Amino acid sequence: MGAAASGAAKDADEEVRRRLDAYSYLSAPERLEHVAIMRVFCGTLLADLAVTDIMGRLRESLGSTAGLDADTLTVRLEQLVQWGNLLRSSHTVKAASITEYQRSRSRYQLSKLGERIQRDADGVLAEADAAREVSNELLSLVERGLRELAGLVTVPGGIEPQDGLERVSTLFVQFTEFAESIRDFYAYLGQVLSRYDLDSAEYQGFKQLLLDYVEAITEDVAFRAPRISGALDTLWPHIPDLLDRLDTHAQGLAGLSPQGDNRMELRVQRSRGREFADWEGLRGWFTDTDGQGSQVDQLRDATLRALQSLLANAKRMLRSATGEMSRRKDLLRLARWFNEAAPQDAHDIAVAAFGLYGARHLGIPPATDEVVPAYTSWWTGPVVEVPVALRERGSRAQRGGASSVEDHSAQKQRLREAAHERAAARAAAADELRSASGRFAEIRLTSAALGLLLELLATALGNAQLRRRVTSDAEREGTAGFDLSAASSEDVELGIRLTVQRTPGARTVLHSVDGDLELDDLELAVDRTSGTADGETEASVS
Amino acid sequence: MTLPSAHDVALAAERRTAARLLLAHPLVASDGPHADLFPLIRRHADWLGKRFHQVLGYRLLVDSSFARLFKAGLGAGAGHRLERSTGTPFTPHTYACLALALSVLVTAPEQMLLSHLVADIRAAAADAEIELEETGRASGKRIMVAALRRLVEWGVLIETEGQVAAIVQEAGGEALITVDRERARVIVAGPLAPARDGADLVRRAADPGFGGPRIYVRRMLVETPVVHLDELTAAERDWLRTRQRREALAFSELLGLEMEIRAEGVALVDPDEELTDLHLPGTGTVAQAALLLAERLVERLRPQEPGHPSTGGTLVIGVAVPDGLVDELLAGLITEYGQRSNWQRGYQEDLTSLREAVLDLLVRMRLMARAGGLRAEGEGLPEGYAEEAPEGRPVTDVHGARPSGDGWVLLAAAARYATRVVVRPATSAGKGTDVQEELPL
Repeated sequence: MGAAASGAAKDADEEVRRRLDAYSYLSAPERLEHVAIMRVFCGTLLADLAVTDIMGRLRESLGSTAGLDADTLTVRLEQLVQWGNLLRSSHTVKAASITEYQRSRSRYQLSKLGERIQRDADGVLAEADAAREVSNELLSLVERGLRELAGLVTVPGGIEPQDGLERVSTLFVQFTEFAESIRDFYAYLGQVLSRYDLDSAEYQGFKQLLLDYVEAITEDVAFRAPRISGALDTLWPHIPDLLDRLDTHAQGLAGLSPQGDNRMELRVQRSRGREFADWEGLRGWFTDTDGQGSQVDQLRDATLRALQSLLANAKRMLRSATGEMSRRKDLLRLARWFNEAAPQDAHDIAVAAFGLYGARHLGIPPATDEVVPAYTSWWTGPVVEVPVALRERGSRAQRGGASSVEDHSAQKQRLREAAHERAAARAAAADELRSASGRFAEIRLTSAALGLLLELLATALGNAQLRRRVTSDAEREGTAGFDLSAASSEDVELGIRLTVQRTPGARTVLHSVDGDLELDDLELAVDRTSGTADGETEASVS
Repeated sequence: MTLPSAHDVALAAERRTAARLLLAHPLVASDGPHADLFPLIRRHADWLGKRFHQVLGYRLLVDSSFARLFKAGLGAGAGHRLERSTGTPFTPHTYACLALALSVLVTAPEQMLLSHLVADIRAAAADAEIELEETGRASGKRIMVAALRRLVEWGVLIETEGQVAAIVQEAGGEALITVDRERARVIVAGPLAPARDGADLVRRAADPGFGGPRIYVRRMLVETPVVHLDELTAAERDWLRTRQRREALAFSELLGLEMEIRAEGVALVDPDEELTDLHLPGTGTVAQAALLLAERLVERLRPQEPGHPSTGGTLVIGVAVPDGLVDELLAGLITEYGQRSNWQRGYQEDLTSLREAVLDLLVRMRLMARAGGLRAEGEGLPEGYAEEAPEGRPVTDVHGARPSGDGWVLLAAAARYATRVVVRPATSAGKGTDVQEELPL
């Protein structure tokens, strides 16, 4: 039982596969020739054709297949027979010669399947990729037809069969045409709206198409649908009866099959409207019968989706006035420039095109506490202090215990030189002071000399204060002011001594390059110390 | 005048932080590595937008998920480049691949499979008439991955499942990619449409437009390490010399950068040493060797009596580096520092590669250069750009301030890293007690 069922399913699959094979000729490499051949067959009714006839007709058509020779053509024809598009003709001819016999053996005619597929293929080819108008005037005809039919069916005595037959046929032709045009239109819309590259002209067109046309259709359908459902509801109980009546009146092809004897399995496709399923389909279009939503509902959804899609497009277009296509074009050009550039130029192009680089600056700022004139040269101006770790080790980390011993000799040398220079400068300043002593008013001291003098003066004043305290403690005798009678200070290393004498009314002025220093009530004298090992000094008045 | 309140100080600090971040990273994502500072940019978006436009002529776009500062170009030889994660610079081919990927992404759907993306890129290559290196080969695949990885880094592509590196896997690895079209659209900042070719694009992108010398000089100051005077036209030099002190103050407030003004040019330096993509002085073999090389070159080549013409000196912006000197000094440095500072073995053993890396860094930091065309001589100027200073205004003559020919040139700013303190010429000591004044140079 199970085996039988699976066997039957297998047969059914096999049958489907066989029928689909009939489409093979459309995708084979020689499809243009195939189509041309099939057109020849479709052009005649109920004819079987020999190879030579076909060749003749192909030549007349002047297409690309006009030059096909007999052998190739035979191969093509055989192939089409194999796929089931053509049938070998069973038409028998009494031949008078060998040639005629051979020719008559190879006669072909169209199969039903082949004819149907070729017709569809031609339809697809003929259809321009354009919007197909929706024949919504048909919808009102459908509505009217249904209402009239409902009226006629419900009158006592029922409808006159011939009238009924005509009305049902008309009704279904109109409805089928309308449904198809709607389906086509939405398929087209879907295809258009899935594109991201609408330019603004196209967008304008589609805006009109959608906002005006789609709306008109949807409104029309929404307006008619309840009326049609209403008429269908009235009609519904009478439909089985009506169909029976029509069947008895005109049996069509179905009537040709021997009554009650289905062994021949001759299948007949009834014309539209003669089966109950057709009516169910019609009803399903307008009312929700199976919970999946009616076609009208789907239409409404599709319209909404289309509008959203259009909105998304509009949004995108507003964002970029230039449009995505030109942006894409620019980027393709950029890619070409990159591709043709030398490596260094490519880097520069990237900087120019993307501008995604970060700012770049040198490390270690200038010392902020010193004002450097703008004309100072980098070559000779102040340098920055590079941290030792960076300069010597190329690292910011503080020195770890394990690192190797560093060579400080260069720095030591520099420090030694610097110290030496400083010492020499001080010695020079001391010499200058000694030579200037006693005639401070007449000469201008250098900055270094004045610095040294101030250093000595500060020490001397400090010493004087100390001495005053010592004196007052010892003698318990207060004196007003400082006792500067013998305040002095000295620098043994430089061999210089400063003596400060407090003389009320005296006034000493020191001139220097850094400015003038005035000392009230003080007199200064600088002389040489002759330093000894125990620090004993001997004054020598200059 | 009132003293700034604590609130004012905090506000200025926030804005400075945001502005510095945008200059260092012109595309900041709310979910990227700088997510913590993104709210600052959002908060001060208006103020930042106005300032960047007014000061640098840059457009700032702040979206809910990213901020983009549209920077201008820097002209030829800018020394910036994109690199793979390994540090290898992008090749022209990798850049082309990147542009092709972007051309696909600006019109791409929200999500796509990696294999579809690759197929679309190849289709785009065909449209652009570019022969992509055979993507079946490993090197071709790696180029594609490098370009896509960069887009992932920018946040244009999001690896929803799998990774773009799946391309190099055997047997067609797959990944699901989510495309951020908004970000894909803000990657391009330069004037692609009017440009005739790559060189024209470089020229146009660096054109300050109506901003003229003011905007150009500021951009160079903010974006590049050093601006030497002969890298400016007469009009630009004129503007800089009359404005430099005020600009120094403004940049210090706005960005926290300190200006070093010298006879040969101007440099903005970051005291925090953060606002830069390359570090000099810096860590590692190349940075250390570069610093030491610059120092020794300055010691050897320092010109006699350099100075500014207005004070009787001779303006020397660059000195020629004799052939072989760099190699000689580098070899000495390897002996002296190689072992001690644990330099990378590859560089210790291969003088050529060390020289290339060190010179590359010094050029990119604008301390050295190849002799060649100069902006002061009209090189790289956009069409119709006014290069002459307003009539009658004296401008520093930079003619002949750096050697011509085709050798290496050591630039003046390198001398700021010399370690030896130079005794100033006696002339400045003899000037007496006058306050030293800024000359109207």
